[in-house]
Amino acid sequence: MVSIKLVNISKTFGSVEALKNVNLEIRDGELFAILGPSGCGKTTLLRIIAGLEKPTKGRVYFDDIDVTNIPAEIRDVSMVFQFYALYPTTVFNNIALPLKSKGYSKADIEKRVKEIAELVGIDKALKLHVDKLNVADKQKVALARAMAKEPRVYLFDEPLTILDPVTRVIMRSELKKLQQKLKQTIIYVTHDQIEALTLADRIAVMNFGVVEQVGTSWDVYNLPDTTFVGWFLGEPGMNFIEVTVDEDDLSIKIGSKKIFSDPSLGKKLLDLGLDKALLGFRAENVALVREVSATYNSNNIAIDGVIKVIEFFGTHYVVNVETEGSEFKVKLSVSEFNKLMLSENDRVKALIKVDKVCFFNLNNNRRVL
Amino acid sequence: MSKSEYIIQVKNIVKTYNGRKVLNDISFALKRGELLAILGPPGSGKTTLLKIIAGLIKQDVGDIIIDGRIVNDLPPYERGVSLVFETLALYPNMSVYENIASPLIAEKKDKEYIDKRVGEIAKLLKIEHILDRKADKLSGGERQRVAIARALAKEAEIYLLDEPLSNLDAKIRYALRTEFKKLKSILGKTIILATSDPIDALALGDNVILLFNGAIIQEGRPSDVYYAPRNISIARYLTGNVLNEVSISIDSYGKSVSVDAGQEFSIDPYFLKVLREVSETSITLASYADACIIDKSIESCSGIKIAGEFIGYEYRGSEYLIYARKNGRIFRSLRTNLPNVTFGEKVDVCIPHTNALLFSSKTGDLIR
Amino acid sequence: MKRNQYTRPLILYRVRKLLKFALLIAILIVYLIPIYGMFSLAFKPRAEIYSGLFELTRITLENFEEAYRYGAYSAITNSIIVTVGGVAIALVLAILASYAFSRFAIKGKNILMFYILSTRMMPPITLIIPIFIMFFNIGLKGTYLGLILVYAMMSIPLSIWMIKSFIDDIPKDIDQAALIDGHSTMFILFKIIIPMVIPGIAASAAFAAIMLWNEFLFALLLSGVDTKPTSVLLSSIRGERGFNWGRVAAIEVIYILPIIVLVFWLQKYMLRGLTFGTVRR
Repeated sequence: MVSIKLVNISKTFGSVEALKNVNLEIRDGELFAILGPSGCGKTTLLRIIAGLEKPTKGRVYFDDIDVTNIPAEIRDVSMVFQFYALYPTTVFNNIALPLKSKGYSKADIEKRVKEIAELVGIDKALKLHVDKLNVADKQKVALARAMAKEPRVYLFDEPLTILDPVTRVIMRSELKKLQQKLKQTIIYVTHDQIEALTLADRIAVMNFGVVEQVGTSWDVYNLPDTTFVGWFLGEPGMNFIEVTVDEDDLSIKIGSKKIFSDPSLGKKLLDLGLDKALLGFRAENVALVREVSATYNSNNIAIDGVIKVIEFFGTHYVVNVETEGSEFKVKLSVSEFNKLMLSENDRVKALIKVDKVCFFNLNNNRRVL
Repeated sequence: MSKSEYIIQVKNIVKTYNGRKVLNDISFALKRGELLAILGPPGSGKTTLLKIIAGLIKQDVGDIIIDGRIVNDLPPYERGVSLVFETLALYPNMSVYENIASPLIAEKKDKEYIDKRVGEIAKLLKIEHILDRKADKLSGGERQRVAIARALAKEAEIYLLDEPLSNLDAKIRYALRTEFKKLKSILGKTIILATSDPIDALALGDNVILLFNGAIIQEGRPSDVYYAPRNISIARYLTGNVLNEVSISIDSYGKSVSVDAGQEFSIDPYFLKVLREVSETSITLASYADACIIDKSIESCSGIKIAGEFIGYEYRGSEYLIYARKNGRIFRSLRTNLPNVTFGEKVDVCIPHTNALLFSSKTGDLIR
Repeated sequence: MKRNQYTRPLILYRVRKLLKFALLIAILIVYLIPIYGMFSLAFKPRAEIYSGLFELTRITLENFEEAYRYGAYSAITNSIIVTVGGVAIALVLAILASYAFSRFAIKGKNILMFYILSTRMMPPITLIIPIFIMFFNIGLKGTYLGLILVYAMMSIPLSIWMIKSFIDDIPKDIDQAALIDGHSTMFILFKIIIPMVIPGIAASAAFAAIMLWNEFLFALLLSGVDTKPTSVLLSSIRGERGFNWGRVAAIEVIYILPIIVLVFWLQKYMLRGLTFGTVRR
């Protein structure tokens, strides 16, 4: 178990800046996810923590000891990759190898391998050759081999993406159970936001080599620090519409249409020095009604629009609404959709509860409210 | 020549490879401006079908009729179709501009025309900023857009897309899906899209055809196929093999009803009625995740109630997907909050009969 | 430096690394010694040749002047002409053939390909007599063209196999996409396929060039007085009173220089060519 600190890490490959001034603190015993789209630098960051890459600038600390210049073999980390990378031999030998190189006695090795295999759930397969296993079991062997080393920290690089959905869910629970029992520090890299939200104690959301936010699942989902985080989390991602504050009555407008007449919000924005901002809200927090003319109570932001695209997802519908040159998505359950009987080009009014929205600064995309 | 009602008709296409019937009597027709999604697992013949329509492969039997003309003997170039391959097949050593311009260069159009057209399309697909970049230096989403741009550059009646979203991050897939649908409305093009992802098919198609093992096993509107799948294998495929299923059979006394031949307990008389009506001794009850309830304990359940164990969950930010297991069967339930249970603890699973689908256990066909 | 849990393993690691490096240097020295010896001989003045192989006190170019008088520079030029000629013709034919073998369904393709490869399985000396008689009768004996043709023949089989495997790696979808666009087969070959297999072509060229540069048997029998390449020149270098080591060394230095430059320039491609694109995605 170890706590890890990354200070001002930058990494350049030729002319490409893969990581820009990354600062992270990973606590002892926590499951820390690094989440981001392909190419955001998360794998590079993991490799720097592992010691497989040296940062161009910055330092890496394990428990306050500077390990930046210490190579991977010495750092005592274990990596589990997306494609298990097993040795072509029996399950037993795969798990035993790191122990053999450490110089354990034969009896000790047997005992330890059995222990770990039981923990992970493959004790029945020890004598089998890895070729004979299915994908989930192979990944378990990779996990067991990583555990045999008793490393200070586990580094996972998208290890579950190749598994089918059910096995993935079960493995996630197993991983979580294991982590709680052994109190290991785990760093988990993934581009699957659902995986990060489900597994992690804390998540670092990355984009283009920069860490945009670090927080718990709840934090990054409901209070995103930047528009990127708001967009990246959630299916669909957060909607963003440019709004202005009317200087006379402090109402909120899109273009010339008023969407919120209570001056409380407008005042807050003006106090922050903004007369324009990005309104951010999630598709599942929007209710749709067909009576476009009626007015609604002051708890809701009301936006009039036209339905442009309807997508059916089986368990729900996602509807694209266009208004004044902007568009946003609304998520509806099947029953809601059927009740409204919506089709393309219908006019609708979207209602969003005021306590469920955020505002972002147009210039730097950072959340202000 | 009068314009026919259907822009493309596919009639009785059969194709055999090495003794195996890859496509067995495939027929369908599309109207102008429609998007048809062909949904099926890998290897079901989708790519072969698209290539036959495009003219890259010759069918053994059957006709392809495009805009009233039989095109069986025409080379791909003369059929008025444009194809986007699953592998995208971009020309890696050429720039994005040259890739998009390729069909126009082949048609020997002059530079002015090419410049204008490439610019228009690049703007539509938001790739103007990468026109000079070499095609092998693009991200996944960018490559997809360039492949689509190249297909659009060629004026065609029908656009064939083979798994256009398969190699992309979930986020980009989501965004591109919506863009597709918008593009279709704006351009008014007729599109045939082959995919193995049921979400793509349901979300994008005006009509969906299910192709399993080279045969069409169902076709219809997405919601029709989803709510009235002809066979349980279709329902299973649509959920990615995580359909909530329970088998019910009447025991030898013809009275009580047991589940999965392992556990016996009293079931809603509604199902007894159904069983008697169709004179079957066993049916499979299935429901999608949003119609199933999993909780620590469920008092009243107007359907089937099963005692299972909690094996895990997925947190999606706005909702939770709860997983439970009983005798090797997996159940999923969509909820807005997490029940207060730990892994391995006992939970109740309830499948109400209102939204459930009933299939014959023998044939797998839909009863109701 | 602070002593912590990493200090000991780190020191052991560094020591092991140093030893590995030392071993590599030792092996490198063993390989380089003869080459250094050759260079030193080439630049040594006549008088010092027997005084010590590796000492180089005075540097002189007199050996290179001797080499010139002996005809070495025209021999090198001849080597260049026949090698480049042979490789060029071989590549043109091999590229066309590789594309055809890779993309078209030809009856008996496998047999044909095996036949082509089999021509290189026979010891060249068995072919010498028939080829010599043929070329003599046609009037190609002693000409550049004669040797170039033979050289092209020798290079084609391996080039086809190497270039074909590179073309095989290009998904057929790309050809088909171009067909749908409306391009002709020639366009596809020249504007799309060839640019994509430049590494394969470069590798074939490099391997063929090395083979032809060193070739001796056909060069000896088919070249004339004016057209003889360096390999033949060197074979006649033994004088009545023994070897003129300085001159020999000078000729060798000029002889190996072009090849070293070529391999250095193309080593990346040659490595890819050797692995024949066996591991893919």
